[in-house]
Amino acid sequence: MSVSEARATLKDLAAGKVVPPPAYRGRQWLFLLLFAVVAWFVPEIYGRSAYHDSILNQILINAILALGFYWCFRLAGQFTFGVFAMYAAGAYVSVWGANYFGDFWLGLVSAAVVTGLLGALAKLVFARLSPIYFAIATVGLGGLMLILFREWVSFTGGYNGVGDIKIPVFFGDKLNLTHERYYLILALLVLFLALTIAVIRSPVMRELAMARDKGPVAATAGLRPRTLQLIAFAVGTAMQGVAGSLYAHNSSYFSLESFSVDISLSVLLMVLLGGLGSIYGPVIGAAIVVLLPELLRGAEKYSEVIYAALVLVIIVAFPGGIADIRRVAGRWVRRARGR
Amino acid sequence: MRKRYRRAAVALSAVALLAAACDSSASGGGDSGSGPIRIALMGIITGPSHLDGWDNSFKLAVDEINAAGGVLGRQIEYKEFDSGITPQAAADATNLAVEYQPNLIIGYSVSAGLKASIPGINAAGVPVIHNTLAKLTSPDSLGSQLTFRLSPTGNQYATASYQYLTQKAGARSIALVNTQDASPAEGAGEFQAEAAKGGVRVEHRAVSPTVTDLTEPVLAAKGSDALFVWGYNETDALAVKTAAANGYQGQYLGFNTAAAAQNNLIPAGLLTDKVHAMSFCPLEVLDTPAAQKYQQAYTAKYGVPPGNSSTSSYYDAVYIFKNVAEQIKSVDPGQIVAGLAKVDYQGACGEEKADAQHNLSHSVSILSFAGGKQKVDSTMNNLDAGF
Amino acid sequence: MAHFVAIVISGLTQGSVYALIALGIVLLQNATGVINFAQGDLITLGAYVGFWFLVQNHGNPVLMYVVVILVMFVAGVALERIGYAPLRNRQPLTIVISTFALGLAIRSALGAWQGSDGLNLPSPFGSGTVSIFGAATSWQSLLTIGVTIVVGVVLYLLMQRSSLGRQVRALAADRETALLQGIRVNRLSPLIFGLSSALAGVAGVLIAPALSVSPSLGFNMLLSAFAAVILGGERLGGVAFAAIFVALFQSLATGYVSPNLSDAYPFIVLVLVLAIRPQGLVKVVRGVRF
Repeated sequence: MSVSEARATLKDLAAGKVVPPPAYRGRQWLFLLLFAVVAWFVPEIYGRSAYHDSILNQILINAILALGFYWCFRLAGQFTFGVFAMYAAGAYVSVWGANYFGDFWLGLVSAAVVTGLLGALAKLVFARLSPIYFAIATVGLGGLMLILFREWVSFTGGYNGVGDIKIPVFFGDKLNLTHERYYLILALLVLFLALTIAVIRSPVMRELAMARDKGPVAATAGLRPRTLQLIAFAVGTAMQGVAGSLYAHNSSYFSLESFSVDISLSVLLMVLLGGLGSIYGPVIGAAIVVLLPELLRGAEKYSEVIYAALVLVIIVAFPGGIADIRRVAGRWVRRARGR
Repeated sequence: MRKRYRRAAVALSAVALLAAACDSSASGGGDSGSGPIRIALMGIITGPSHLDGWDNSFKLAVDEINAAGGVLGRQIEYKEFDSGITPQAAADATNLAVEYQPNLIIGYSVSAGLKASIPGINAAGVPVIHNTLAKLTSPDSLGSQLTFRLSPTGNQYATASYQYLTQKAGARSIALVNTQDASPAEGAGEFQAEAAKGGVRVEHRAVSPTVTDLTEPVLAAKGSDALFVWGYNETDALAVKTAAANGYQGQYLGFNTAAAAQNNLIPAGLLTDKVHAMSFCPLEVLDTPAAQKYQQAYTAKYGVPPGNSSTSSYYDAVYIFKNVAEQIKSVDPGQIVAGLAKVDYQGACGEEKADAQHNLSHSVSILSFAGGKQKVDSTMNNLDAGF
Repeated sequence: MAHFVAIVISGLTQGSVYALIALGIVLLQNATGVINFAQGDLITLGAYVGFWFLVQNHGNPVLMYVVVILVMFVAGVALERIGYAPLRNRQPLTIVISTFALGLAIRSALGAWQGSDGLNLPSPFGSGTVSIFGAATSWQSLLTIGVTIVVGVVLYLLMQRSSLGRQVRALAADRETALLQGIRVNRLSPLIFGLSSALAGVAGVLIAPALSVSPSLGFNMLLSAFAAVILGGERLGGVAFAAIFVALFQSLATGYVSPNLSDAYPFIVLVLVLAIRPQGLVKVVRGVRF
């Protein structure tokens, strides 16, 4: 909270008003509903073509992936670089599961379960590591996992990739078109956002925040920070696995070449550009990171330099990410008004 | 100040939405019978795998044909699309390319990228001439009859290299090093299969594409008659240097040695008569009249002699299309595809004749470096495509 | 025997390069708390500067090293001014991402400047080799190991005997107290960035003759260098030895255990050590910085 915000709060309290804590302000459910409605109509505004449909789906899938990272980082307090491995694992397990069980949804669930368990395992084994070391350990584990996928040809198809992918089904309707799958993915994203809001508004969040910010002290307060963080981390990795599963079932084909550590770096960019302070940060960031290279296609070989420059500009100008724009704008308003 | 902030953000998103919305294509339509012929060129434009001048041979062909009156009297226009290195990026680029309503798509150097792009290609019904190597991109595996392969298959490269090393170089034992990537891994597998049939011992190593140290594979190769490296320019350069530094005495064959040498990645002194390079379309050293004509035209247009490039064959791709179109006097996609399936064309790269699996190329050349200059050592023709 | 010696020497050579990179990273991290993700791209930049001077301008090989060190020092200072100073008070994560973005900018700018095809930086010794216990060793390898030892000694003297070194060690030991003691971090930062960048540049020109100079030259070596940084417990001496260890392990395992998993070894070393000994190989009592 900034000084001016604190001053405003004190003023309200002195005047006898009821001031809810920050987590309960802002009518989050309403905003989520608004978001869902607006997002529902985006395909119509953005234009309908195979290219646009694919881009929109990619944005949503990356939003879920980034939200999973958000859970790991902001809720569980652990910076993880292993996002790319969870994404890959989610994709491969989901395809295998869908073929084994004969149902897309069972494939998705098995992907979530497996990646959730893997995340929990990683967190348990490396529990004593400092945050930066944990992050690097996840790089190591992730790299090993990709190498495993490369060698385990019977499961992943190796370089021949996977082509026999079950198409998502919704209540009996086969979602053959990319456009149709958009709504399914959007529904899942909204579901996860709702879950996030529910957790943030619950007492669990208070304990998670304390565990994240004041680790050892939280234990003395009678909380069980490790358990909560473990669960939150597992949910985060499960979300990343679901994103991978959706990626797989949204594509007609994918292979080892679809996955590399670049994915983790992209997710990090998404979360930073979008803003760490809001659950919509991952969504905004996903949109930026997916759309920017597409918009820069015309610049050909200069597109990478421009991309890097733009990223730098956004980071410097928006410390809290684009989602923070309300607060930044508010601060400028107050300054302009001379408070 | 605050107005500028908020306005900037809103404006940016509005512009983004608008720009994207304006991109929406008019559906339907296609070739109207007149107006320019459109070719979509798919290649790697950004990123570490990008090669400069990859589209030079293509642009040369387009300029020549346009100067001579175009195809069926119509000028050729083209647009390049960045197919990237991941399957998703290639699929996105293809979706964009298809909106351009091309009469032909040329490109794709990554097999997985082509495979991921097939839904878009099939939906648009556009013929594709590509340069990928893997079995993954055979018409059966792709589920599409629209694609035609202009580069040799991995199998053909493997056969050619095996035959060369065992027959011409007399090797009884071979050390095989490949980078852990789709095409090299598959090619190496096929090479080992041939060696197993021929009873030749193979010492196999798989290395990372970004490997920085090849000492161990080279030491392992010391007991073999030949060392075959299938990777990238950098891998070849590193292998030759490491082999020389460790006193390797046998024959050396590399997949990219010619390109590496061209880029001065290999010190000239190391290009002994024991070093050889694989090539499909060595237009810069072939001495056929067509190749020489190409060399002169290329040098005239770009000011530098042509380099060894896997995309040199795009030159022939454009001419093949022109020939087929003028034979059937139409650019209707269905008829072009039918025409391509029967094509038998003497290109600058050699004879290009379609087989049942839409493979157009059946010969591979091995280059040697006599006195530091490249020359064609031998050419293997009528190689079985394998799939 | 010759086989073993060849493998060990190639491990030592690689280890020397990793050590130079890791030293640059740790130096910066100790003084400013920043982990510079652009370190790999600085290596590449160093190699390109060397190429520009030696090949395109027909410079003298010895002078090339001097030129590279000077240019890279300036580049490091510039990096500090653009990517660090404006963001000094932000979260460490933001700074990390900005270094990463700068690295990408350097990489793509290099590709735009010299093209993205590989280039060759010739070694001053050509391809000459010398035989050590029967193993053919290139002079460039020996040069690499030698230069690294010299750099290591110079850095040690710098850290232990100079005022600058004292200040850096103070910052590394306890940042808050060091600042309270009046150490001018703002003056120190550009200097350390420049020094770290110069180290990267030297690593670049040492390793470039063996590999090819391409825009992603340095980026590919970052992982093993980071493994060394962690194993070495973020101390200068520790990371140098850890780098040699990682490279030797990789070399020996590739040579005698399984050649086809050679890219897995840095990961394996990292994961095993972190799982068993969370504070790294070199025992150090220090607080958590991040």
